[in-house]
Amino acid sequence: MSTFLDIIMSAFIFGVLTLSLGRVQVNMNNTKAQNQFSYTVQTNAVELARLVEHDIVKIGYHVTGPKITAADSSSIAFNAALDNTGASTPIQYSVGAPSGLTETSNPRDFVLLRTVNGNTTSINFGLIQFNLKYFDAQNAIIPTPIIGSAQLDKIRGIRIRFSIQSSESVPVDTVWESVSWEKTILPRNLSNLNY
Amino acid sequence: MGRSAILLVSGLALMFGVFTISMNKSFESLSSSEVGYYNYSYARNIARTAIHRTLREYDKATPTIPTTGTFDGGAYTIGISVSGATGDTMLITSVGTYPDNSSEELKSHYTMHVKLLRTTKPFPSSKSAIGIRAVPVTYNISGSPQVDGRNYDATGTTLVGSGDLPGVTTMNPVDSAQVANAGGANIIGSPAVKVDTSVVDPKDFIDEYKANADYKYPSSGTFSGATWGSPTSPVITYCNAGDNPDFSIKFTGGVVGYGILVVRGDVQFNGNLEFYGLVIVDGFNTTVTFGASGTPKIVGGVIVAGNAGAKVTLKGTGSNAKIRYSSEALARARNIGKLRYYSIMDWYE
Repeated sequence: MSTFLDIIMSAFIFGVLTLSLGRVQVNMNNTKAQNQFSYTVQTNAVELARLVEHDIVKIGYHVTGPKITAADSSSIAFNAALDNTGASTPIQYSVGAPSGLTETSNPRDFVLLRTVNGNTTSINFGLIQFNLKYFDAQNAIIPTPIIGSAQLDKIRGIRIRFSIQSSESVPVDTVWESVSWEKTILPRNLSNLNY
Repeated sequence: MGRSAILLVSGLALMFGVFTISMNKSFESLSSSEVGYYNYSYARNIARTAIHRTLREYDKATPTIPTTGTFDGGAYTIGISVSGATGDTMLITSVGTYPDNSSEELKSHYTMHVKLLRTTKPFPSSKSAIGIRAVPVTYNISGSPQVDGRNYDATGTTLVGSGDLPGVTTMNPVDSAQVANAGGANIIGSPAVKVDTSVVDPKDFIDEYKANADYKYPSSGTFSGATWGSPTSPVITYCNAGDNPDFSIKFTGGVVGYGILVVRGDVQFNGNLEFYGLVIVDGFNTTVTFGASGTPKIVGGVIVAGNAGAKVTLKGTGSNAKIRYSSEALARARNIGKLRYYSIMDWYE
């Protein structure tokens, strides 16, 4: 009888231990996945910030005609000599539709489209927000869309704000890792900035 | 049972170990990425700071402008070349590095190529040897001191041969007649005396000159033995005797100055004072007096402004002019480093 009870108790404790281990395993996997997604979105944010800064600060460099040719709340088109070697080229930033990015389970993410001299690159960094605001010489916001060369020529500063979210959530439909970045850039080649 | 427990615990320990290592690697990579962006941003700020610093050294006419430097844990190198017909176009390449004290692979470098046009701010240039912007004016002269509107070189010794201006300008014909009558042959110019209502009101400039003054005399008194700047490095001197006409500033012997001299209140120039550049006298009942003793002289131009009742008194027995117009001396004053600014022609970073 005593031996039988020992077996029963051992089996019970083994079961509890196994279930606990399983639970620990699941939690560890979730933490690891969340950590991985956090790392990915933060790295993507850094890369995207550097890319956007790289291009926006050059607006108007070596440009004799219009410097900014289109400006809206989520898109901008401008001219600049990106590589400091020759003539300026047209550059455009715009965003794709959320429904266009089917590879991820995130329903809100969309691609950023960067077009340089007619060649478009689709950048999938998990963007869920890409917002642009424009400021004049008095640091007043210019309402978007900005239409007409007279209005476009007033732009002196551009505030860029974007948010990036992980492509998957962990646990499912619960936690989306997110990062936001915002910066106001005053492209030095926009008209009569003094130093 | 015991063996199973040992295996179970060992497996668990192994699992935790792998998990911890994986997490640490992930955190390390993330930190590296974020620190990289921080270093990149800091290198950019240092490159920009280097340009600021270099321009300020340029403004101060520093003989040898440093091409390298350190700042807040970072370092920079600067390259400058000057071009353009008047040497006012500057090409600057600035490279910021951060952090300065780590291995090369951890450093971030940021390069800026900048083309600037060095220009001057608006300047209340005199259109005569003495421009009076006050009504009415009382002009007294005794002895034979001269006011000469002909254009001299910056030293006031050689006539340029062109660019001659009136000796004195006033705001209306009545004052003009009074000045011409009082000055007689001692006022020389083209013409000697003229009505000119376009003399710039120096009040618009005085605050800036006061803020940027290299030498300040904040109260009335008698001052001697001072040197303000040099021909190649003119400066701003600001004197404030107050608006009360009972107070005045008096300069006596051993005063030599170059650039812009602003006097708020009454002023008396005596002794062997020499000033090369622009003199602005502005105040309540502005009174400018050149004493009979000594050989005070101003080469450049004088603007007298203020409320009604401005007085200009010149005394002296010598034949040398007290005031000589010089476009060259005024140009040097206009180009004081602190009063210059830079327009961006091209900026690449």
